[in-house]
Amino acid sequence: MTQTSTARMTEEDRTALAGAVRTLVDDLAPVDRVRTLAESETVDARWWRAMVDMGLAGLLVPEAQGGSGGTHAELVAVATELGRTLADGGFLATAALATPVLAAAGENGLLQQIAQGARATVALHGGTISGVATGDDRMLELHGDVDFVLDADVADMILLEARTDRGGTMVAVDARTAGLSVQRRTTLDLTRSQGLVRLDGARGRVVGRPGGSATLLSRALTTGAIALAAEQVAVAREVLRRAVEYAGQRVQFGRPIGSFQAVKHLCADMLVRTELARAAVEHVASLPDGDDRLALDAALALRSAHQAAVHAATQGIHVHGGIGFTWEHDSHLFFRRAHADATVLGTHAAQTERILSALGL
Amino acid sequence: MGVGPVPDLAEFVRRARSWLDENAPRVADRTELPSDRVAVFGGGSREQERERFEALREWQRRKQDAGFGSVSWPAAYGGSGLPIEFEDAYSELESQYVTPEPVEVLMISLSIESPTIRTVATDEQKSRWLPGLRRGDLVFCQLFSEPGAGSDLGALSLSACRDGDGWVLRGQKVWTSGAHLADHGVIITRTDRAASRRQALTAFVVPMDAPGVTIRPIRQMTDGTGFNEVFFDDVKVGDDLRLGDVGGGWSVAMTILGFERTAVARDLGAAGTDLFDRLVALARRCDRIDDPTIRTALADLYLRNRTRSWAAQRALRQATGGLLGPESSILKLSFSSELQAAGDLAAELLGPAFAADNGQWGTFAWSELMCGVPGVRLGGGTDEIQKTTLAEHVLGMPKESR
Repeated sequence: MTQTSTARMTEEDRTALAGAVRTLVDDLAPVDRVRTLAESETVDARWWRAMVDMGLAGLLVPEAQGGSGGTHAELVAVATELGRTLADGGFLATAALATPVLAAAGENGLLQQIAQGARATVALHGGTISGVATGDDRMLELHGDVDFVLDADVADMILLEARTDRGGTMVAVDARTAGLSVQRRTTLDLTRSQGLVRLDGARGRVVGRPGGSATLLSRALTTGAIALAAEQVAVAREVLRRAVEYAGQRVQFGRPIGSFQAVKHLCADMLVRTELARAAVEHVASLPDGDDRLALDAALALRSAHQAAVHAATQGIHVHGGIGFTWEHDSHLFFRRAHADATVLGTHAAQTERILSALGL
Repeated sequence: MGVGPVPDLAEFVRRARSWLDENAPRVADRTELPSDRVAVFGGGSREQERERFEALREWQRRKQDAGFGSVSWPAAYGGSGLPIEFEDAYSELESQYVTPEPVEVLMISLSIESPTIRTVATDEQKSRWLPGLRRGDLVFCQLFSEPGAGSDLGALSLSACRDGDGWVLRGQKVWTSGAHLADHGVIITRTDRAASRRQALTAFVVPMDAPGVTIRPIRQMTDGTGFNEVFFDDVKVGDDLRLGDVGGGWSVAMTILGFERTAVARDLGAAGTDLFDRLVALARRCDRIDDPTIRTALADLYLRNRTRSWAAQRALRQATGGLLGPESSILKLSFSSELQAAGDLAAELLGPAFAADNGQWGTFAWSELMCGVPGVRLGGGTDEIQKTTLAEHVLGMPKESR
């Protein structure tokens, strides 16, 4: 497999990238494979290796650091393909959350590690980590714990915010370092793990400027919102496709249920929300990196995509009827992903405030 | 214009700006308070409506004579023969100036009926009507719905019967916007009782002052009277007024529908955040800007507004041959729910001042919007027709048994 180089990609190149990712996903991470891994809580090293080899893990890592130098447009293209089968395996946390933090902080060494296959994650839900100064002013001794960290059990590198006497400071901790332990949580979404990270004197390296964690975290929130929104739209579209297909086959009262207006209108409602969110995601993908509307429009796209995915996943089960309520059916995997995704970057209220504050309200 | 090299867009914009500077005040320089009307299908007397109509018609004439009224139309019809980007650039620029309020029948005439004429009429008809249509000298309304044919267009029964060289029209149309202001109307008639709807219908252009045409206003629930019922009692029309083939009326209607979708998308894609901005100002005036209920509703409204606008722009980018397909039904559906959300938020902010006029600017006016929303959900294909269109023509779901 050849490494993806995304610098100055054209629309055509992006279509080709999406096609290549789709082939890879269908080959190595179709829904039934994702389900098998999820049920056994197993990590698929082969899938991660394939994503690294294809340049997806380092999608947003600059080319100078061995990455693919991708933009938001490529991020959307890849997240869309992965979302369709609920494949992730570390992509969101590594490429969309950790990479923008490291890039904004100019941490070239850590970016190189990502391009070479290290998995990373960012603790987004705060916690009470305190950072104590050590002899080395780039190193902090860390105490406390932080919960709900995506992929905490598989990450090689955990980025978290520590409270220090110089303010909130971003820190990178090696997952194998002494004094760090991870407890995997039972999760609603079976396809993406979360964990509690405990720090008992573990040492972490300061990322960026001491006291500068807020700016770095906001980068993770914006880029993460773009990737999550793309993924949620893909979830909504896939669920809708499955519902429409089933409604065309399932016969009741002597007719396919898809010919009943009540079922049609349910699917049309799913389509309306999905297409609005899709337009929002495409709009955000087209904005240049430094655009001053990026944070606002990314937050809008995310909100719209959440609404579409949760609605579609809920109604998709309804269209399927009883079979959709069984464990064996895939509907609940999408339903779980849709609901869990809506919590990754904070509550509805927090997102509302993000939108309004960007509008100066 | 229309021959020779395409001029530079920047040069065109510069010329347009200097013409607009001479002919209209900028929005930012407006001294008087803008109107507090936020109505859809709103009120006002027929006299007020005619004044607005004449003001807008005069504006279209001035634009046309200056070369900005039909930017992307061929010179033969009074246009400037420029690419569509020039027209978009002009519209964008014009939105920064205070221009006459929109009047529905003129929008229909310029954005829906005139491109339909250009697509389906004979060369003789085009040169007869299009120069006048483009300048606003000639205004066409659209005669579709009937008492017995609302959602079911194929069921229409107003008949056109052969009469020597011409035709005689008999029957009734209803919900005709601006019939009282228009010079002519594009009418879909039934010319064959037996044939299926695809062959039974024929389109004509009928003068609204022809003997036998009676126009009566419909007073809507907003108290406005923009719509009419139009009666045709043995109205004679020549065969030279037939639009398209005998039996080709369904196809003319579908052409009109395509331009209507496109016009709606252009409107919705270009529309700004006026209602949202007004509601933010209202929330501040009511001292509710920090109320979490209001903040949630404001963010929700802004989200609806932006996604609808992005979806309209996307639909226009992806339109094949410049025309939108059935997927554009999502725009109309999202627009009606956006208006509903705006009305609900205004009602919540105003409390009793929403239901009774205390004379304060920008308060009771919101009730007129609320009273218009049920009409938006009905007009141009009901919400349910739009959903069925999406399900059958976009998602490919099985047809209902009809």
